[in-house]
Amino acid sequence: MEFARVENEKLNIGPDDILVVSHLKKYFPIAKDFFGRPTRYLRAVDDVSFKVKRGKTIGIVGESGCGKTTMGRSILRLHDITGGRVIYDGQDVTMLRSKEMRNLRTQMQIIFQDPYSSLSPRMPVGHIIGEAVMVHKLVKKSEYRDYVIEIMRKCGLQPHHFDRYPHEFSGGQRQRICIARALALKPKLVICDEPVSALDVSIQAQVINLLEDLQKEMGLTYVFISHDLSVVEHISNEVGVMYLGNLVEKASRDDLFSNPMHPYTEALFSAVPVPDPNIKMNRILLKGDIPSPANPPKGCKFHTRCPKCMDVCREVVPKLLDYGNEHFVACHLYPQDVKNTLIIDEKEAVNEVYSDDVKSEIIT
Amino acid sequence: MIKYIIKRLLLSLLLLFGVSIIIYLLIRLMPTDFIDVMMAPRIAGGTVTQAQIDAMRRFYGLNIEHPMDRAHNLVVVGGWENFFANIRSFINGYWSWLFAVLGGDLGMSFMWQQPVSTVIGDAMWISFSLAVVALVLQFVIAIPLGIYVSTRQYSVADNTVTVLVLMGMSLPSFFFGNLLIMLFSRNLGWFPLSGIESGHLDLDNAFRVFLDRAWHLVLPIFTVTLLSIGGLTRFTRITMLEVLSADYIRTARAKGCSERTAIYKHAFRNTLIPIVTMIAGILPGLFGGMIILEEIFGIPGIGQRALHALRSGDIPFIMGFNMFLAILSVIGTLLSDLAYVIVDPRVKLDR
Amino acid sequence: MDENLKQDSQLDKTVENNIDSGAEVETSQNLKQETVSDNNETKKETAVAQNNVKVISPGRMVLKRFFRSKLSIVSLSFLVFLFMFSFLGPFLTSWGESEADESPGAPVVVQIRHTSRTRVEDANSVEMLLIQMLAPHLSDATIANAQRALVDSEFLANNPNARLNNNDNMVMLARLYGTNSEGGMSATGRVSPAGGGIFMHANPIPGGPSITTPFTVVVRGRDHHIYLGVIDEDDGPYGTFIITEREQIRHSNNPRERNINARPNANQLLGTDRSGYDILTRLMYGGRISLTLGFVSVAISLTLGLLFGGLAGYFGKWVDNLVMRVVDILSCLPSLPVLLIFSAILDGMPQIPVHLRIYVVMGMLAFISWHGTTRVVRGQILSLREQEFMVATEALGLPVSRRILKHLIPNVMPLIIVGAVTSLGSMILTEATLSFLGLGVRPPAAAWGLMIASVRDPQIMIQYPNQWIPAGVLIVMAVLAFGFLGDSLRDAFDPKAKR
Repeated sequence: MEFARVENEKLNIGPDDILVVSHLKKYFPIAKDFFGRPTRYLRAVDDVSFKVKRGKTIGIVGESGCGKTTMGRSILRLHDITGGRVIYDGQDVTMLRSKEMRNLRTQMQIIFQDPYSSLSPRMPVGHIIGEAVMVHKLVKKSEYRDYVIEIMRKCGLQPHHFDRYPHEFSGGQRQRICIARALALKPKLVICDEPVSALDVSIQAQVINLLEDLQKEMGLTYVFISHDLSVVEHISNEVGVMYLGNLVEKASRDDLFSNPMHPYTEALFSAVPVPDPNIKMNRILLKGDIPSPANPPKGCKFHTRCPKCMDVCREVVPKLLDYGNEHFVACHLYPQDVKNTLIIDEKEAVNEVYSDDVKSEIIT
Repeated sequence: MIKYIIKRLLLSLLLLFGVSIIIYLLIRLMPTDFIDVMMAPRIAGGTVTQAQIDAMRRFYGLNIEHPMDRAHNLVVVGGWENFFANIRSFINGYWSWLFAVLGGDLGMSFMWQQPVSTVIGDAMWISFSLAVVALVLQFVIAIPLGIYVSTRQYSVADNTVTVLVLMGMSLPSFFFGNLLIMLFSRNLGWFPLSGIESGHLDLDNAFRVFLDRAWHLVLPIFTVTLLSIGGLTRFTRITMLEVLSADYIRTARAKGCSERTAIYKHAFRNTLIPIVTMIAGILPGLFGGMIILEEIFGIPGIGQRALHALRSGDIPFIMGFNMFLAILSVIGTLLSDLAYVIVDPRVKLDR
Repeated sequence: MDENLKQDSQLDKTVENNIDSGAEVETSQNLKQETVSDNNETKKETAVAQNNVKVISPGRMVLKRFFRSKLSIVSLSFLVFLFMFSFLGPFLTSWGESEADESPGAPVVVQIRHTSRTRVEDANSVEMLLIQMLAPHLSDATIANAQRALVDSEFLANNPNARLNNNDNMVMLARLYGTNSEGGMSATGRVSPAGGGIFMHANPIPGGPSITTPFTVVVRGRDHHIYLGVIDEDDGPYGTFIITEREQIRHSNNPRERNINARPNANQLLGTDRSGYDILTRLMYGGRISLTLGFVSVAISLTLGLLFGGLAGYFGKWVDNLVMRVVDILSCLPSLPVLLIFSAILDGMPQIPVHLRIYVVMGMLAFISWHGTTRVVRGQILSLREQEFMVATEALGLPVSRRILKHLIPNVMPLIIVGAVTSLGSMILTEATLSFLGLGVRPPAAAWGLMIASVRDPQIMIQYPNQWIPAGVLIVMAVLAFGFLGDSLRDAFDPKAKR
């Protein structure tokens, strides 16, 4: 089936960019007027753009409630996208109909955060893992069981687990089942939504190692969402920092950790405890609480808590710009007239809105 | 808040509209001949001839074009060729009835030769007096009982109450009522057989009339209360259990609150919330009467009238009565929704 | 719930490990430590696998928990007994459902009717007469009047066996309005039906025969209807006097006479009713009706509820809106009155043969209750839909039908099953109510509610409790059993919920 081919040149997409997210927005209506038309929105994801190259990992970090999970799910069209575009392997998947989307799903998978609630309680594990394989007819019926057992082995499960039920496994094992389920379809892109946050620390290491091994072996691309900086540092090639639905900084892993440019990123890193009693921690304490995503501050969303807030920050939204070596920052501390290499025609990109129920005044 | 009320009101109106259509449809399908229905067994038994029936018809004025008759074309003509004629007459009949109702005219009862609204209005208060006393008793007994057993889960008291409560909910009202009549009225003679007043009574002495009536109503009220306590007790118990095990109660205890304060001040108030939502179901029962119990105990309330009307094919009354009940139901739901919003501070309306 | 189950199975595994692989000391130590490394677990698993660890599916766990409770076993056994009683019992008794005991030598029921007519001269002043029911609570004077009137009429003269008994509570008299000196009655207009009956009076005809107000007298348990009136016929008005004597019990050797109102005896363990039918057998057949009606109605209601609730909960938006508005409307309909209307409609359709009537009744019962099931199903689906495993099925690209059938429904079923079992109880109650009012199955068919309805006759209420109390007891026990069963099922499915 021919998917719509996007004008790659306009968006500066290379052949290796397996995932391009362009000004992605996801709003949830929280108040309706008398006739049921929405009047206020919760802006879970409010203009996020990034690119991921094949076989690499981008880590997305941020506080709870900053919209990371929503973004991850929106990329997979598990939520309807309110605005912006998602381009997978050169194809614009934003508006695909559900039937076409279903076929594409074998290539884009997700691993959920909670290993307890993400497995159907009444299905045997082997079937949980292999169901999608059977439905999408990826292997012949005769080879099905062997195929599933092979995947299970790869993920550190035993063949005799095939007939067991989820409630008989520990947290770490269940997460392995989730991983096996996602990878059974041999996807190219995997969204890892806080996959180790619910596990014991010692198990975390094993699962992370497993994920890395599988990435090497199967050439997977990861979008690794987490609030745990150390894990993200370990596994990512690039890292993006989210705050209240916006990407405030994005750079390669080494660049970001050695040279955080955004005040929020600095504060985040300063809060990571260092296990050396002799080093005095210089914690940057942010004043105030995180604002509500239903009523975000004007201008730069971080300005209410930023220690370096200026007048312009209160009025104008800073643009996400490249300051060398693909280190993107959205902050007025840095010059705002640098050429943005991610999107060429910014004004047009910003005005692309697909859902009818979003009023235009919100998109400014 | 006002917006919410208005919205709910409009929805309720739509609801009533839908309900009225369904009721009207059902009643149009009923066999309509009042006299025929009454006389059917006698015709079969040969005690009455058709000529006699025609004479009766003349008396009841059923051979004259009753205004309601004409509008309704009460008989549904069979056959597919008459399909559209039926639909047309249905729609016409419905509109004329609807306008009459909106104007306050519920029609004229065949059986009692009075406006339906009058019949309902008169009989309603008798049923109401029965229902309201039973309701108060219910609440007064069931809620404390539910709270009591919730604090003593799995004890003997708890298990006994659970079983009794379940038994109460399983008893058919007509069975239990007759059982009580057999035991207390006929065998023991403590209470009167039926009706709400004794025949030879000095009607001027209001107090004696009141006592007499109360004496007549003891058994019915007892029956109703016993049968309904179960549900409320159970409900209270479960709600209290949920609330009592919540963390904020644990905190209250940890802070040093006495058990009593914990229960009444903190837990109870939150139990009120679901109970308030039960208002919806109570309203129709309060004014709508209990068909079976009134029949058994001979209480001339609105339920008994409805049964007689149904048995005799008094169609205007049946329609009016059903609409009456439906209106009560809708109002009950509306009040319960509003009450819920008021009582539960967590519910936020669009500001 | 998952935690609970996991712990249960861990416990099972521990026990089996300790018994079967005693050499694996490492095993118990591993379980005791908090940080179990996955590698160790894998080793243990391999060892354990050779010991045939039982696979316990969630379904089997539910059954285990269910049978642990004594209450559920008791109620289940009672229901099994009830089923056998109703469906197998009739093969064991010697009576049929409507088979009257016509053994010779039994007391006899006879219908006697006296009719006479007289011409009336002046037709202008007469309306018509109707006889109806009876009014209670009359004063002694009124009763004496009635007795005198009866004595004065020729009725007693013609019937030497008739007796008057005014001490008996069962004497019920019509309301009489004064007598004029000739023994005839004068009319005063219409009586309000507050007394439970409709009367109309004749105006006296000057010079014509005196017209007595019709009345009914109960004589020693017998029921008579006396009809007097003036009827307009083609050739003029006639005064008509009809007395129908209904059940007169007389002993005779006529073999076609029935054994009615028998006390419990060896032949009929619970006695017979007014028509000579065996009570015990009728209880069994009544059980068939109640149980069948209950199950079929609940099944229909459940199907409709699953269908519409599922559609509403799953697809949301306008589908949800539409279905819920319909459900709202249906839930505002008063259930008993509507059922009564349905029955009346049914009566007015003579085309429907009697044996089909019961199926229509099932449909009626289902119609009344399906809005409840729909609400419950929808609520459950709404809450399940956002659970992560459902989102996971969408991420896997599974087709909608599969997601609903294989993932959603199996998790919705527990609540549905519990609800269905409880509704069975209330369905039985509703059916009994309907047949009590005479609107369900019709005699001579048997139904528990019908059997209780015989209590309208005060004679039966007091003197023959064996005719109506057993049916009531069975109803209570059946509904109770279903109620307990539902409770136990709910506990078995979700032990952590507060009872």
